[in-house]
Amino acid sequence: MSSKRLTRRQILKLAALGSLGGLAAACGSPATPTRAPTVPAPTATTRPAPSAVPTTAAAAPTSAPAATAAPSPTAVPLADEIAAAAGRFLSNLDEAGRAQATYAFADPERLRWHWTTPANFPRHGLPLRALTTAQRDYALALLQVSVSPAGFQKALDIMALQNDLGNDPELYYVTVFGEPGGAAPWGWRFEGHHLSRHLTVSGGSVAALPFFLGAWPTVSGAGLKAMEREEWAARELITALTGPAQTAALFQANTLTRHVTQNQAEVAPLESVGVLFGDLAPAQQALVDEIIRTYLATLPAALGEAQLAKLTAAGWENIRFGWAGPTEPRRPHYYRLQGPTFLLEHDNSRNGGTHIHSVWRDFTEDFGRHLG
Amino acid sequence: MLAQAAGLLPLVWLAWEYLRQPDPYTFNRLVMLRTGAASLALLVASFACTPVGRVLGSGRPAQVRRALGLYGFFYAVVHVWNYAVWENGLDWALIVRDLEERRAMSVGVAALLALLPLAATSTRGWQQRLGRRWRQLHRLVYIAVPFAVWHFLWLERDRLTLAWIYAGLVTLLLIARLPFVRRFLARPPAQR
Repeated sequence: MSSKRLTRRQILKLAALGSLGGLAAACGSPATPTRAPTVPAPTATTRPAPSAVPTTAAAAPTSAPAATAAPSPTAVPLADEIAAAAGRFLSNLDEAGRAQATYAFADPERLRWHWTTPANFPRHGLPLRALTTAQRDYALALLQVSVSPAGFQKALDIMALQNDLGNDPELYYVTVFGEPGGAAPWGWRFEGHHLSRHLTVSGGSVAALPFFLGAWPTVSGAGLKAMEREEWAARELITALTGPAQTAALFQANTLTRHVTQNQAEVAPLESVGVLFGDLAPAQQALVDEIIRTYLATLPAALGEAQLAKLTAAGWENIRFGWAGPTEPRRPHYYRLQGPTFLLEHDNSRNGGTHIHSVWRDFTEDFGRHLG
Repeated sequence: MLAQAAGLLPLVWLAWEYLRQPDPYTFNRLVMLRTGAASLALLVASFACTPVGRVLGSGRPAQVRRALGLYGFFYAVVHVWNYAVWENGLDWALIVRDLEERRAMSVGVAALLALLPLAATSTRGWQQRLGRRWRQLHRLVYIAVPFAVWHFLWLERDRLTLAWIYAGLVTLLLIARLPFVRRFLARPPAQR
C-alpha cells in the first residue's frame, strides 16, 4: 500500500499557516521586554553607607549661603576606595583583558566619549559581556563605589532599558586610564548606550564629571521610569511660570534638535537664555533645586556636596532655566540649567518626547582638568 | 483569504494592545515597532511568492502576491506616518536631524519611495496601461525589499538575529530569480 503524499494545495496551506505564524512572531518582537535586567548587583561592596542627599524639593537660598563647605575630608578615603576597587577589577582580569581595559592617562581615548550605541560609536575597553560573572561583579563594584546608591540604581535602570530597545544590556565598557592608586593621576570610565561616567583621581582628590544620563523609552514596557523627576520637575516648573518669567524661560518655541555640547571634551558657557533663579517664586526655585539635586545625587555624596557648594558659592541667583519646545508631555522639548560654574542640558526631542539625552558639564572640572 | 488574514492580523493585534494598555508612551512605540515588523514580513512574503510558486509548480502564490505587497506598503506608510506626524509633529528640523544622525532612516525612506510606484500601479488596469513597462517598473521591488531589510539591519540595535534571517531569506529569493536558477526550477520535479 502506497503512503499518502501531500498535495500541492495542502503544501501551500501549510506554508501559508507557517508564514502567518512567522508573521505573528515577527510582530511580537521586540517591543515588550521579555526578561528582567540581566545585570546583577555586585555580591560584595566595601562602600560605606551613603550620607543622605536630599532629593525632595526644598527652599533654596536666593543669596549667599550661610556656610560654604570646604571639600569633605571623605574625599581622600573615596579616592582610596575607588583605587582599591579598580585594582581588584584589574587584578582579576587575565593579561589580555588588562591590556584591553587599560590606557595611559594621557591617551586621547580618555576624552573620547559618547552616549550612542557601540554599533554607532565603537567603544574601547572591556564590555561587561566579555567578563566572567566574578569579573562583572568587580566591574559593577567599581561602578558602585564611584557613584552614589542613587547613581548606581540609575545606571542599572538605564542598562535595563536596553532590553526594550533590542539592545544588549551588557554592552557597557570599563576603561581604566593610568595606574589606580599610584602617585600619578589616573581615571576610569564606564560607558555604553545612554550612560557615560568619568572618574579622575589625583593626589587624593576625585572628579566625577562630566556625566551623561539618557533614557529611551522614558517609560518602559514594564513601567520603569528611569529619569522621571529629571523630566517632570522641569515640566512642572515651566508650566508653573507665568508672565515675564514664562516669556524669559521659553527661549524658543520649537525644541532644539539635540543638546548643544554634544560630546565635546571641553565646554564653555552657552548663550544666556532663560529665566533667572532670582526671578522665580520660592516654590519654583524649589523645583530648580530639585532638578539640580536629582542629578547631583548620582555622584558620591562628598562630590555631590562639593558641587552644590561650588554652585552655591557662585550664586544661585545667577542660574538660568530655559526651555525650548512644547510643554505638554510626549512632545519634543529641551531644557537647560546654566550657572557660572556648570551646565545641565536635557534634550528630549526624539521619539515624540520619550527619549532623553542629558549631560552635566563643569566649565573647569570636566575630566579632572582642575586637578592638574 | 489567508493573505487578507495575514494582512489584517497586525492591525487587529495593535487594536488589542491599545485596548489592553492604552498608555500613550508605550503604545506609540508599539505602533512603531509592530508596523515596521509587519511591513517587512509582508513585503518579504510578497517577494517570496514568485519563487515559491515556481518551486511548487503552482500559480496560487502569485495570486496573493499583490495583496501581501499592498499590506506591506500600508504598514510602511503607517510606520512613517507614526514617526513623522505622531512622534515629530511634522517638525522638519527634527526629521532632518534624524536623517543626518541615523543612517537607517535614509535607507528606509529609499525603500518607501521605491514602494510608492509599485503600490500605485499594482492594479490590472495599470498593468494593461503600461504594458511591458509595467514589468520594468515593478523591478523596483528589487530595491524596495532589500532596502527594507537593510533599514532593519542598520537600526543600531545589538541583537540582529532576526535582521540577518531576513537578509538571508531575501538573498535566497534574489538567487532564485537568477536566470539559471529559474531554468532549473522550471524543470519538472523529477528532472531537478
